[in-house]
Amino acid sequence: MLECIYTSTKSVDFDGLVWGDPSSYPLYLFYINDIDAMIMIQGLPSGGKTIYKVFRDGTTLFVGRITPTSYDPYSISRGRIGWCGEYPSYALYMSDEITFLPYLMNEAAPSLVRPSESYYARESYLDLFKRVWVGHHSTSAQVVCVDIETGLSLWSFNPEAKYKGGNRYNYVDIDHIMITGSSTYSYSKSYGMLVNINTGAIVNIVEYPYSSLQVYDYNHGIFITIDTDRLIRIYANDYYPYALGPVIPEHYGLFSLVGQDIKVQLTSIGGFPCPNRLVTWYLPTSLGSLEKAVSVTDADGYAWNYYYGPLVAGGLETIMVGWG
Amino acid sequence: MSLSFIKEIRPFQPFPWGDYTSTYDDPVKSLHRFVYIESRDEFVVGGVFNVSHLVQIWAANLYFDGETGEYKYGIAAPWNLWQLLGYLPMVWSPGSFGKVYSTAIDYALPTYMLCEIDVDTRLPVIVMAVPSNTWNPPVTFGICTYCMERQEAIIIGGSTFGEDNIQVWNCSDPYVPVRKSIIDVPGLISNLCYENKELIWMITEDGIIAKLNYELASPRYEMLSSVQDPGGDTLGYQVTYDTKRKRVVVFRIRADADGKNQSSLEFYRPYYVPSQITDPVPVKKIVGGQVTDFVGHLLGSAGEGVAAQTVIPSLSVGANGNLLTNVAPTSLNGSFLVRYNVGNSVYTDELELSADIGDLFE
Repeated sequence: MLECIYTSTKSVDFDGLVWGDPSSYPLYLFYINDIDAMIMIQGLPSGGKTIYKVFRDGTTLFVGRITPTSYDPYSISRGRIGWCGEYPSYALYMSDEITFLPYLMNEAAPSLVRPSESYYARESYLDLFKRVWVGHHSTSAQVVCVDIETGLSLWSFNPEAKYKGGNRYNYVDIDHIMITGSSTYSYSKSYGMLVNINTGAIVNIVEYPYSSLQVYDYNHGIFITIDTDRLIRIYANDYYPYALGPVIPEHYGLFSLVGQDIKVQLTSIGGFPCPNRLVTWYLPTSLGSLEKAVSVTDADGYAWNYYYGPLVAGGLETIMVGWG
Repeated sequence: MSLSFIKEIRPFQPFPWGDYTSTYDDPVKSLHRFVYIESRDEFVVGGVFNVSHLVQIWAANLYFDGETGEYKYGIAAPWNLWQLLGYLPMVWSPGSFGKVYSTAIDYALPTYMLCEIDVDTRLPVIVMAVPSNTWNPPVTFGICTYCMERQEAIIIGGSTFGEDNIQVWNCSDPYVPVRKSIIDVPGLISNLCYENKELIWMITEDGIIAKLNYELASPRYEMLSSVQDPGGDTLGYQVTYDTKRKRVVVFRIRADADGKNQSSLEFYRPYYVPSQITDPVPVKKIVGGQVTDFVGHLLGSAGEGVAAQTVIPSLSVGANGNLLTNVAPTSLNGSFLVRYNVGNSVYTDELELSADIGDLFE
């Protein structure tokens, strides 16, 4: 889970439609490098989509509309968006930098060969530097990366059920993209997979505490969400504590009468260490004693203490730890 | 870049025998033209109007002064003559050479007649006849909103049949016009107007105004803005470009109130108009004793970033932390960054931002 460092006081304003109405809720959120702000795209009950420019404090500005009902936006490297055209070609168009509308005369990847028609061209990611396209299968949610010139599959994986869909893509950096699931409105939480674009390896999993639209602002290394309460939340790109491991004696067993170093590791939801966090120590049985009541986790997420064993043999010592 | 509002001319009283400018049926569809005539330095609004409770239909051109925008006079439009000749007359539209052009459709041939308008007699002179069934690919739009670049025989037409795009056609071979490009638009097109051999302006039914470079192989927008206070009691918009003073002029159509005209002319100048600073937002966790960055944007009235200005941050009196940024310049997208050194206790500081933009029109 990420740590929320800011919640907007302004609500994102989008034409008064009800969030949760599948015909009109905001569908997509992209971080656009050129404007250092976000583009939010909302479905319209009458078809077509409305485009808004959204700033981090919740300021929302209407940009325009796109009328073809079946056009869907997709993500392009370095914080741009494009539009996927209509059946049967599903051509991938670049977008205009002012209106964010599709350049209908400018196909981004005319040679792209998808593995099959069932791999969505829309809701995908196109990396114009690495010359690869990442998309997902419409039913199995299999995520695949192909060379846009040759159509050769470079890697693929099948995300777990809770990540099924994988139809939101965001550029993170030259080597990574963030893939989030589809049914963000049916879960109480949202998940995102940080994926290495070269290998397809999932290098981290982030959990957003709200059902929301998410985007990664790669210029500032923060995650930005728009939640069902229409507020914007900013999450620091920091591993938020999720679990403490067992207390580990460094040299001997805890049964020893000899004093020794003990440690405990604090990790995030993906098992990643959380440095610079406070860990509290407590001995309810007090057979022995601890050097410190509070210690700080190191770069590997370990908090250290020194345990003085009991003077008299026998008994069961319990060491309780917590984080704050 | 955005459009800054200069002035509004409202209301005007077009007719000596009454103030009515109610249109014959649909007030938007009944207004056929809004054009700046450079040689006469006048704006023309053309349409079918009610002139009184007794005389309800009057096809007329209303003329406005190019400098002041004040109403000058109205003259009956001659185009009903075209209908008698079997043509369906189309709108007036500005084009190259500072001329005004118009089209007519001859359904019998079938042919588009592309005409230059004699602005003194208001009669058309056919300059090109293009068969309407030989366009490649077959044309899917009516040339109801269009601009004409006559030297290169380019027609820039706005689709009016729900496809919502602008199409650029090369008619140098009038028998087989070729589509050069097709450009998506941010809303239903209300009107197009010509600026020069590269640029046109468009306005949507929502009041969005965009400037488009149509000459490029991949046409691109150069500006996106809007009329001030879109919506409300507005029924529609028409746009034209004052090539003499480099101003965008919008005719805003409103229904008459108590028999009096409420429509207006609005004048805009393409210029940055800083109008708001977004709230500063932290992009790093606020930790005692460490530096936190706050970011924000200086925005124009259409939400565009305003570059090359300075934002001045300040803390309230008695602040516990301190600012490391005294002056924050805005970047090309209007963003700025303020660095704040966090104190070591638990407290509340207030960060205020201001921008001195001076008088932009001096």
